[in-house]
Amino acid sequence: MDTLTIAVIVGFLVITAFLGWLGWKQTKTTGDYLLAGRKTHPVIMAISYGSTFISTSAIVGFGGAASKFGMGILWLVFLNILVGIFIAFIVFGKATRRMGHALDAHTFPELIAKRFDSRFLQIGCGLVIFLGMPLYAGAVLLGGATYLVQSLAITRELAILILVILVTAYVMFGGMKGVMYTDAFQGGIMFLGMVILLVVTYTTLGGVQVAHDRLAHLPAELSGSSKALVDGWTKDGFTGWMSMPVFGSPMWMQLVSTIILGVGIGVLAQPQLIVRFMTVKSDRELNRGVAIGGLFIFTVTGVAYVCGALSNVWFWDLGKVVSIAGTVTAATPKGNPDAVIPNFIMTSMPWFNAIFMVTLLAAAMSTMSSQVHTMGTSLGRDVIETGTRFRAKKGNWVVRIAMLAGIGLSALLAWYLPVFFGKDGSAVIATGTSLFFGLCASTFLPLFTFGLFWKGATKQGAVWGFSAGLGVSIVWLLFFSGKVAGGLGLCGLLFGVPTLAGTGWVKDLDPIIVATPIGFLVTWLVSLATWRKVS
Amino acid sequence: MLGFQDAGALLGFLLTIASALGCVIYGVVNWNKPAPEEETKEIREEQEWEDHDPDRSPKERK
Repeated sequence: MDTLTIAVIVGFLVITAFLGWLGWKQTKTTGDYLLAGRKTHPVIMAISYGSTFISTSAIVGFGGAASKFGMGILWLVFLNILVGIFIAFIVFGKATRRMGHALDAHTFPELIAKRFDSRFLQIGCGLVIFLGMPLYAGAVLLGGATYLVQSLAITRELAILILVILVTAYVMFGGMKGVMYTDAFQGGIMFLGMVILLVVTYTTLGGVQVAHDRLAHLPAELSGSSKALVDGWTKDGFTGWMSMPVFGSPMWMQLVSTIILGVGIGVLAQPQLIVRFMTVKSDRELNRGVAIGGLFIFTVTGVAYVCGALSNVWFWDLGKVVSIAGTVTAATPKGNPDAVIPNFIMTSMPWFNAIFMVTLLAAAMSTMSSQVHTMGTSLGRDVIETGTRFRAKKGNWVVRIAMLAGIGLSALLAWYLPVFFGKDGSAVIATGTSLFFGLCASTFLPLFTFGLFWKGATKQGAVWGFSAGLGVSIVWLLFFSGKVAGGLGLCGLLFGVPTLAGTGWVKDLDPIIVATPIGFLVTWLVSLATWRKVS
Repeated sequence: MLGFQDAGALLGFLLTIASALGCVIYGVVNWNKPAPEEETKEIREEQEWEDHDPDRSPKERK
């Protein structure tokens, strides 16, 4: 590591620590917190949202996936903005803020439990979050670690350890509140870093039109190992980087059902983002947040995906291999999409390495601080304290221990995910993230939506809808999903086939497509059936 | 158009830009809504909610 890189990283960490201390010092009382908040510039408030939502998973993981799926993945940016910002803020955010305050709820499971008067739901939601979120937090860790591995030439285990130590120190020191300044600082770095990346990429490739044309005609130019790789994709439905895969093909199903819909819709039911709506002081903040948040997501994710796809042209010009073909190793014979963005930055703009590393550290830390807080409160407060009716008298040490357990589980998954999914050239980070987003959509979205907007939703409806969404998701993952069931092997052990879904397109369906409608239907029907008894 | 080879990918690209613009326009138009008196009420609600947050020690909840 050169002196400049060390200086930039140390500078970043010192500024983060200073801003964290400043925020903490200024917010001793509720009044301080709110008054300081009223004076805080709305841009700071909104960028803090964006930097929590978007992480290394989006930049490294989905950016890398774009080098395989091409520009069709821009549909995810569209959904991220339309659903993740506009609908989430205006429709869900405002209603969540009101209901959270009216019911005096401080975590997502608590909001659900108070709305439906159900301890079962609080414990159930808490458990799903604590056990499921490490998939997402692990993916975020892996995104940061993949870059460190390549730029510092260290092992993956060491890279994960470095990130875990940084995030743990950060979260334990900062907590959830008073981190608005650090979030905004980190978000600002992400924004600037990505703008530079976009400008340099298009300039290097000869401008927007030329770069797009080159990418469009690249499949016809290919030869050697890259041609063999892309021919393999073509059998799965690949038609080029500037067009969508063949409708209904395995690649189309993965792109649309898992990546675009899974993450695009699942964002509405993300506990760590829902909590943010409850900590906003007025609807005005949400209105302002739409403008800044929309622009932030557009820049950060849009740039990562566009550059991921365009990196193919750069690598082809450099060494006559496309992005993913350049990442083939003994451990990943079909290439590793997660390594594409780090490779691209380091070979095309080595001078940008230090800034990009800090951009990724910022992206990982701003997202993980709220993930770890959410995992900690889910296990600590919603499961242990509510389940056993035990309350820690002094401080919230139960939550802190639960946070450590959550970080540990996430680190374990960050190490294990590539071992499990990486063999067939999958985009591991994007897959881990999508699985968690899908799980949230199918288990939480029906009762959350009905709970907010329909007075007729009953406790029984919510309990059955939650159980149905969760049950169908788990059964689908274990026995029908070609990717997960085939990898886990339980289905093969019990039934002698890798998946019960056969060899057609059904095995490529993401659980979100099957389980979410069932969750909505069950919540609605059971609520209708039990409405009179309750009232 | 712009090198895109099918309507699906092009539409994704255009909708992405349109949605970002839509968000900016919505945010700017509603920058100061709701009105200050409504906001005061909302801030009072927020303060009451914050006062019950178990994450904060009694000393912090002044």
